[in-house]
Amino acid sequence: MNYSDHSSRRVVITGIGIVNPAGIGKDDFWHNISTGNSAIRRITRFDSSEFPTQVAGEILDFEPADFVPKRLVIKTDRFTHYALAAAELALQDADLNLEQEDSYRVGVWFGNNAGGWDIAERGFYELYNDGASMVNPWQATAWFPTAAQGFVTIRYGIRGYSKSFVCDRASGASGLYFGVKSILQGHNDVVLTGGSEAPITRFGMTCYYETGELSAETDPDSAYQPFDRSRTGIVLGEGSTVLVLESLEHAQKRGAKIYGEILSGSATTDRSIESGKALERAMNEALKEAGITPSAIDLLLAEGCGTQVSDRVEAQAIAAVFESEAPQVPVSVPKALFGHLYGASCATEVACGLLAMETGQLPVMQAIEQSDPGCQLNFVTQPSERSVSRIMVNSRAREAANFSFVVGSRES
Amino acid sequence: MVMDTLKAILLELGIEESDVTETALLRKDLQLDSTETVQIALELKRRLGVNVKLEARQDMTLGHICDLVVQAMALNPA
Repeated sequence: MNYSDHSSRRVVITGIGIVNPAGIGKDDFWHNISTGNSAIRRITRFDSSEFPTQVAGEILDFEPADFVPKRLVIKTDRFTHYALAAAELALQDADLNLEQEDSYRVGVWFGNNAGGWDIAERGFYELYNDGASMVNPWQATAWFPTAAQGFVTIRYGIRGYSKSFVCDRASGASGLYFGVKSILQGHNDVVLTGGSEAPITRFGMTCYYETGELSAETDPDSAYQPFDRSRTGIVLGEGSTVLVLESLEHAQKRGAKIYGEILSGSATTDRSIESGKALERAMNEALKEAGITPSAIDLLLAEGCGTQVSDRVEAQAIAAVFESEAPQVPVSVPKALFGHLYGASCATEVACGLLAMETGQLPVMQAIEQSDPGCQLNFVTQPSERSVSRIMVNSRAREAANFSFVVGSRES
Repeated sequence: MVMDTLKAILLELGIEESDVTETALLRKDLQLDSTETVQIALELKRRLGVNVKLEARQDMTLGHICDLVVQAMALNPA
């Protein structure tokens, strides 16, 4: 599945909004990501000493009232606060006033995997402690995964074709893939895409741990090590990234600053988590649709979730697709510095790629302490400079749903 | 005393302090939606131990709610 049927329209990115453990706003975020400052820490939001997983990427300095209308703060969960903040930052960055747009031609395409555990824990407490009649009236509308999309549309009066996706680690990639498609197919002129997560609660962390994919390492410096032989699993992050997508025509008409263009996207599913054949096909289709060969990719932002199987399968798929270019192409996993963002993943990686194009700096991942013979790629483990015109972004879910995108700079 | 409690509940909902007056109507003036109205009833029960029905068809003022709370407290003294 790809975009080749809809090549008459073009989709560009004109705004970036980031609320991330590594920084609020693209400038703070990028300073930390391009210099390799990790935001992975021991959990402070609750006493995690009795929990099997004790580290995460937490956002420590976020004040909802700075971004969210007062009346909406109490009605919504933290993951929606993050989404509202990232949407506002993205719209400001795009210099786009939605009041001047046809609201039926603006859509919201988000990913969210976990819903709102902060308010769900409160609801459980009210139910079991005070009885059913005392459960807060926002429980139903605040916890569920479409709440971020819903409240962003309410906040800005958006009425165009919109969807939310729950697809494990590829939730955000699903939103991006189909959000782009909604413009290519002519449904929307403007799309807010990305996603949001806030799973760092007692219950949320417990549920994620039960997937068997989370790292139980207690040392924040060594907990998240994608592609390292001693990798032990995923470290969760939280936050939201929202990108403003527009048809090229719409962006040019209003004289928007264009960060880059979605040149291609491909979605495939492997038969098992041990197989990467369909992931290879996703990357090959994305290259073909973009009309380029592997040598034209300046930076590859890998899924690199940090589990033994997924990283090995992905590294081998990259090696197979890039062949003789594999030792050269810089590969980075910036999520190693702030945790996996599930619904907000992919859009965050696309943002890293766009900021690399803008600044000529590459996003840094953690140092590789023990090289894995099954994962031999050119990892960006130190601050580096390089001219970047085209990036590839991969996303892969636990049950092996794959997405691969190629994004080009304005000039590419 | 009841008005102070009601005011605290409304401020938690994000209502501006200057809008909280005895004559302010829940829907017409404060623009409360049904969930916010339910939350006021829940908090009055939690803080003052009274059941007050606020989902009436008739819009009501904050002063009227205080009267209902005082009546309910008189019927069920703590």
